[in-house]
Amino acid sequence: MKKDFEKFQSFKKFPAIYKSLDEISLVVRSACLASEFDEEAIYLILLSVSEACSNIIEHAYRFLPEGYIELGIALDQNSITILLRDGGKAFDPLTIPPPNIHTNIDERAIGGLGLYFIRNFMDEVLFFSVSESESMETGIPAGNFILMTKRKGNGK
Amino acid sequence: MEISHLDYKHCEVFTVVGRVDSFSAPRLAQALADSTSQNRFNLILDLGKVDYVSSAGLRVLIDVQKTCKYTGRGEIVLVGVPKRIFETLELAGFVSLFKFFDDLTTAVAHF
Repeated sequence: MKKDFEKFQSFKKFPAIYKSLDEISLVVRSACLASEFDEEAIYLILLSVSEACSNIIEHAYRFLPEGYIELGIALDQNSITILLRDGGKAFDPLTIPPPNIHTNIDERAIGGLGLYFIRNFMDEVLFFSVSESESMETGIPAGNFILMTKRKGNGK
Repeated sequence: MEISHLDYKHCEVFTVVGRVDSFSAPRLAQALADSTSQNRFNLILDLGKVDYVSSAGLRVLIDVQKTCKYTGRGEIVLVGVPKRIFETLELAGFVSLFKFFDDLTTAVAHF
């Protein structure tokens, strides 16, 4: 697993505030362009990253301004993987029910839509947490991780 | 994200440029609430120059639509929605909750 972790380049930490979304988006966009992703894929990747960061700010940190989001990017010829790490409350995606997208407007709630988008837009999504003791054993930093992979040209 | 606002006789037009995400969505919400709080419920949102609308932006659209429909005196309609954003709205099941127009003239004529 540590070996997998080492493929990530350009780790950068941002304050866990909405204002960071612009800069995070710029970093991811430039990596996507360097890797020759098309605009359609870039749109889906940036929207997913925005949703994931918003979830971290809102749910992991509950808007505590001292939180951080660490961004890592791994590129190969056919895919990009975005890593986001935070030090907030661990997130279990299984506790988030899928949104009911078929109700009328009066009953419509927006909760869970961000995660729903991420799962629809990215090809692989992985959530996990590393405790302090696991971090000592593995050398992987402690925190909550989301890994999102997008492959080129699969039409998703 | 930038928002410009034009008052017409029967409706108000908001033109948005850039990204509507968690950072910028509150400004869009405020701009639209400024109108609804003055009992103006015929709203047109031009999204032709928008890069993306995140779930935070969708929340704003739904909240405003609820406000407008609740009064029974208007609605918010969407203009020039780029294909990618339309697909996102479709995925969220929002398409049936809004009217869509290709151009501003047709949307203004709707009210």
